Amino acid sequence: MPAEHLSSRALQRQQLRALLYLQQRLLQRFWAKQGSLYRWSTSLSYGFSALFACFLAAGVGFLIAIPGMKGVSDALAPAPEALILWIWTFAFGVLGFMWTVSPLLFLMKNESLSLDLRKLMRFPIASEALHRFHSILAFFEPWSVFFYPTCLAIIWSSAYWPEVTLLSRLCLLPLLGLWACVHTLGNRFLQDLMLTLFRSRYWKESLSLLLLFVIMFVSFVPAFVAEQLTSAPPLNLRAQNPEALLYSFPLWLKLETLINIFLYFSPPGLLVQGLQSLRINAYSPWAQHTLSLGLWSAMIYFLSWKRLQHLLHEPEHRTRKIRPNRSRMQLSLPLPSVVRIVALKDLRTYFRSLLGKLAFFLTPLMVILLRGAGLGNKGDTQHYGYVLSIIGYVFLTSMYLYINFFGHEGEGFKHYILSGAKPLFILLGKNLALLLFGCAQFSMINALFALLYPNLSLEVLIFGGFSFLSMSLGVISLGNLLSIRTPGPMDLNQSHYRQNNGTPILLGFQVLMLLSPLQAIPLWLAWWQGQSILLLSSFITLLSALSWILILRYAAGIFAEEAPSILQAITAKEAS
Amino acid sequence: MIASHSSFAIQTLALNQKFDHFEAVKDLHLNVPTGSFFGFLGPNGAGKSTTIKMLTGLLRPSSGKILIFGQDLQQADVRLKQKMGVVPEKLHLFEQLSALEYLEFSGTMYGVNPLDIPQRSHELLSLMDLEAKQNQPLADYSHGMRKKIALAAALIHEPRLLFLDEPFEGLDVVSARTLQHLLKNLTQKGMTIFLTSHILEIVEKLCDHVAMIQNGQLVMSASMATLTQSGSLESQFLDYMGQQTGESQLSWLT
Repeated sequence: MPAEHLSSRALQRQQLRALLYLQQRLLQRFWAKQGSLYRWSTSLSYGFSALFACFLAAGVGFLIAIPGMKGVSDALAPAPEALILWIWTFAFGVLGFMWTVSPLLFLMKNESLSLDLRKLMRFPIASEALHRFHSILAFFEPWSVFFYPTCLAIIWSSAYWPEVTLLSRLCLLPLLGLWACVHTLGNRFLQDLMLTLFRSRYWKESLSLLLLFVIMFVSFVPAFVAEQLTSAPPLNLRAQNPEALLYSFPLWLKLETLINIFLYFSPPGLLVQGLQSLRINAYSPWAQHTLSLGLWSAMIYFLSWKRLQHLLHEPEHRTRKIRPNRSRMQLSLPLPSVVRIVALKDLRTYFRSLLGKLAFFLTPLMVILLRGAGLGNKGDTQHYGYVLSIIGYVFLTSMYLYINFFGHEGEGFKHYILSGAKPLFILLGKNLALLLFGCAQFSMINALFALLYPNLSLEVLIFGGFSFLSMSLGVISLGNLLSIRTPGPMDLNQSHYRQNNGTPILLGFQVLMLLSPLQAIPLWLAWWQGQSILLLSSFITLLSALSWILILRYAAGIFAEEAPSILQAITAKEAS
Repeated sequence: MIASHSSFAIQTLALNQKFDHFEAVKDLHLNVPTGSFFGFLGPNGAGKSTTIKMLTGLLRPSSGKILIFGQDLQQADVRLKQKMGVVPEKLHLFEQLSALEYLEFSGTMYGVNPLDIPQRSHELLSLMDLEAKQNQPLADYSHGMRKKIALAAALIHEPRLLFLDEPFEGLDVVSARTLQHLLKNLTQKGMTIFLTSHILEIVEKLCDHVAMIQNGQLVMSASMATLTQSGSLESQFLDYMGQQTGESQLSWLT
């Protein structure tokens, strides 16, 4: 008997059941495959995120009520409205920002969380039906954990609104419902858009950098708002330093208009205005804003439908011509060719990978944030501590690189076995690549450091250099052992789920805990015995170098024995 | 002129596919008779897989028309897809499902009677010699085993037209032989099979019609009997492709 005929456009009940079963099965398998550490940490982080979203939204809902509360508004005089406006705008700015950047989670996404529609295209389903299903599933995406508690908290906090009628409270529901539609459909649309753009490596890299830049830029917003709220200089921001110049730059004033326009017409802005209308029982503006949100939903649905059509029918791989790289990096060091080749290859991999770039650019962001918080302004002693904290941060951000040298090699690891290259040279190449990568991070920080601290002494910089070197050698020695003893697959581009490197990460943290105080020993000894800090730190560096040489030799000895098991471990199949 | 839908399972009219500045398929006119075993040959990068993707609706052509059983693929509703089974180049399986689950899912999606699905799934798994591993996730399967599952999923709804992109690649000798027998039987029962393969011996043994494509352009289309009158399929293929064997190269190695 041939298969029964399906109607042309609708998704049949049988198909819908099959798709829901598929999604549920994939999620179940995904969860079951994870270790207990992953499950607990995910549950906790989701719980805290939901709680945070609840508090944020309840706070905002309560703030909406404040101007109407007698006594409270008097207590907050002379300018409660302005204060509330600032906090309120900031809070919804945060919500809007979450809405905008949540597609970043796409990077962590895999098919267990969102079905790959290309795999469904061969089945007899109309594209429209597939799109509807795709859109409905968006309402159950994991990041809804931030969103629905927000809506519920707003409803709850509306109970504090004085003189609000029952009708106004009921009118909240369509407003929040449409806001939910815009949020979820918008998220899906942005994901699909990024899915298309991210298929090109160049787009992927450029967009990642752009997003990082936006995040770094946005990190200034709280300081900017704080500065606007009070005439007193908060946290040294009024000091004559580059940030003060940045905050007083007239560009902010121009951006403020743009931000206001965005807040007025954007979905978060419309929601805020709708809520405000309901607070004073004004139904005409409420209807206008609700309608606007409806139009936003319809527009996003239409755009996402067009996008999906394009996504499903365009070729998976476009042909592109690769331009020969004329400015090829060269390491003109007197080293065996194997060491140079391995070091260059790894350096190239790190700098081109998404996670490598994140590590490289997030560290300077940390410098800016610490400086923005006013740390390190009171004398040279704090400068030393600051250098040490930054060194610690360099290794924290790129820990995953230092604990797993071979994970990103995949099948390419076979070349190390087949080529017959000396294990010592391979490890030396890997060590050199990581040392240079870390040095590049540290140099960039030093440049920012020198820029932000005009009274920085040369001694602090040299101390920083010695400390960084001794820390690097310690961490790399640890990496030599961990990479051989606990290998695992690692996707540096994180375009799909990466295996949990829980054990080596924990070991790495423990060793970092031990290595970090080691760098502070010269400071204590100098304070205690009155010796030169530089002399003491160079001695510590020498000790680190000696231990590195000994551990490297030992690691090279066990590498030859462990190579086949490393290959097996790093090429093990992951959840797709 | 377009022939009536009863005589051709597939017809393409001036089919083109352009990726940026690269023309993967150029002005392709193809007629695949109903009930035929049609071999579609060409060197790597000739445009075979792109053609299959267009014929199965997985890729929208830049221009031209595709008729499946006389119906325009672009205009037709999804019911036409029920008549087709596909084993694409990239298998695109849901790797975390077991073989049995995947077959049941495919059967359900194609609208097979739910009561028939378990029996069909077990029979297909038995035929593919995968019953012992039916509950393992597909992620743990070898490439050949995945190919078998993709084929089983393409057959579960009794399609009238089967597209196979390199079905024998990665299959062991026994499985390849079983598959050949199965495909031969299916064409005898009236199914049309559109096959691409680089294993010319199998193509010569199975197919009754052959077309060759090079650089996106059709270079020949004929019945197997006509083509092999003046030599083996391999020699004809090399003649049409005008390829050098490379014997004179790499003198330093030889």
